[in-house]
Amino acid sequence: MDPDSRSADRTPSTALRVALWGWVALALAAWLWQFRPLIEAVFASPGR
Amino acid sequence: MIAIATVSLLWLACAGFGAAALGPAGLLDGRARGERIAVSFAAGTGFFGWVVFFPGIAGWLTAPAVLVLCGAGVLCGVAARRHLLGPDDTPAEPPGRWTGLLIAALLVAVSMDALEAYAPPADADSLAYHFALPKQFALAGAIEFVPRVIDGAAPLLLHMSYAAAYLLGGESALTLWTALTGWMAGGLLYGFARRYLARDWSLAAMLLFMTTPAVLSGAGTGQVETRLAMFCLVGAMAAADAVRSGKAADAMLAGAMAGFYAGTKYMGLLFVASAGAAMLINRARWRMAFTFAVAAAIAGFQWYWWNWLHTGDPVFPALFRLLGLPDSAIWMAAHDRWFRTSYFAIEVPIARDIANFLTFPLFALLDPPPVIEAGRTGFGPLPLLIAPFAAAGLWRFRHHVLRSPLAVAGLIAGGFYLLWFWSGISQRIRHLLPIYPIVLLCLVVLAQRWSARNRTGHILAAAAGLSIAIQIGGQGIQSVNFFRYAAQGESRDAFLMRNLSGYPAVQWINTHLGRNDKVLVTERELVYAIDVPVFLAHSDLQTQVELSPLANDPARFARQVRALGITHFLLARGVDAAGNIATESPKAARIERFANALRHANCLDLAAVFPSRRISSRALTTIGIWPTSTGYGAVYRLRETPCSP
Repeated sequence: MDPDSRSADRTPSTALRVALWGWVALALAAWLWQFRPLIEAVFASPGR
Repeated sequence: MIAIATVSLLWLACAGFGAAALGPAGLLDGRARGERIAVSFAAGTGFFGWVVFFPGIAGWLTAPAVLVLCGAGVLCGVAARRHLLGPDDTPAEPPGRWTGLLIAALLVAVSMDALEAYAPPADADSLAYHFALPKQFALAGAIEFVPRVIDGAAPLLLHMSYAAAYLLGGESALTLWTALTGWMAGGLLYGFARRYLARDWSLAAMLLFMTTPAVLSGAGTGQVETRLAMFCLVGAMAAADAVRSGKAADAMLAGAMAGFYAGTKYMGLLFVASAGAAMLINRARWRMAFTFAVAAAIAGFQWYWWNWLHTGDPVFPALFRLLGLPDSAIWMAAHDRWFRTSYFAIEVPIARDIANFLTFPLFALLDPPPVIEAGRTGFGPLPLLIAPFAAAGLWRFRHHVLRSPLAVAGLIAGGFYLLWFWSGISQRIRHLLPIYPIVLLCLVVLAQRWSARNRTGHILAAAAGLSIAIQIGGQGIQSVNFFRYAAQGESRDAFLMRNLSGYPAVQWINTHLGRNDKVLVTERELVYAIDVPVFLAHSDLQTQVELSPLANDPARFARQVRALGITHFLLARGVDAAGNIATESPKAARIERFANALRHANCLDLAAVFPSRRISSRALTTIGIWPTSTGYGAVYRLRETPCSP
């Protein structure tokens, strides 16, 4: 799986960076969504 | 101290056996020292569990016998020390930018694991069989056949190392051994990751694996999947080496590791098939496949032979119908039919079709049905977060990927997933944990290579850092329970009272009953904690005491319990404060109805009643955000004079 040494490193375009950051943020939010009953329980527990 | 000494001795013995077997065959050559140690330990642990089987069935499962075996392992290690600890030819790498932080995070994670190891075991599966059976065998001094499907008459190769730990160092050694073997799985992943990644990314991959929710939930318990990950990693990488080198030794190692997996869990047979199929990629395909198969058969045959000896079915009860076996006390055709429909209706909630096959990984990460246990005990957010990076890497380096051993390992993992999904066995996500380190390694390597080329490494690092932070946070919540035990100097009884539903009844039984009594229980998590003979009367998994919905005859029930020498019943639920058994509810189980019939026929006397608290999540209950329900449980004494309902 060695990287292809014939091509140079590339500076990413703004669109690529936005897309990747957006994916990370959205995917994390989507993953956390399944835990909303747990998160609600934390905030609903006595003394909070 | 005894626990630490026991676990150190077991570690040395396993690493010694592994080094002595692999070193002279050249299977440790060319590896970094850390990888050599981890691979030797993984192979040695499999061998140790394998070899303990023989004194076990001979009735010599005693502390002196285990000590002799450990001594032999240590001597093997001394003889093979050059292979294990010899010079490391890999170039030294200075600490990276994140090395310090990653090591600190690793120490935090390991410290929390250590807290879990220090506390008594409380995981339901472990208390039902992963620890209960080794304890039973250790106390009996022999392996006993347990005629209960899924968790009794099942492959138990790794559990033999648990029995050894229990024999030498008791319960503390048992929990410490599971913690240590869990850490070794992480160490092994680090060792293989170093072939492809710089130190920081290798440490990150190790940390991501060790804090994966499924690992946190199982590694420190008796559940075997994290330890099986060692067998899978070594087996898949050895298979990849075999495909490339065509050497019989590589195929033998791959076969042995696959066999150890099959010797520990039926699903290992799928790994045997998947890794065995990979042998066919080599030019000398039939010779390699044959070598692999012989090694796998030798390493994995024991428990299938043991099952066949006692039931006539090596994978009891999977072949019961196919072999046309007759009804007996331990399994019956009518029960088999009912078991297949009811049990698998629960365990396989997702329809097996092409769409679900392709989307299952995404589905399991984002919206899993509760029964597959993929939420709080799943694979964490990382695979989802880095999927685009890895996919881009796969495309970008597609011409190089197929030449990498990781590609073969990845194909083996994919083959396992394919067989697992379509075979129709339990869809609980933890069954995929043994192959997860292979998938994780492939994902991280592809993602890292692509992001380095495209200068988006900081985004990938952020995804990994967020995943690590969330997972360590989850581990922190889980560890409050164990921290409380350690920090408050809580007694074992007090800890189990907080963590084990029905523990007051266990205390009463251990105080008032003796070795001449035998208690029927239906709550499987109580089995380990009870120190007198116990019979787990599971409604689905056994027929010695028939309690499935097919059973309707209390008199037959009475005959069956008397035939087993049962003297007491423990009903952990469905009882009121006066010890009356509730049978009106449509949910009332057969045991409650039959016990009630025996009570009305004056066959059963109330011995004691206890308050009972049902705990659905130990971690969340400890931090006060998850409700528990309360009720009563009771112990009843079966009258010795023959009577029938």
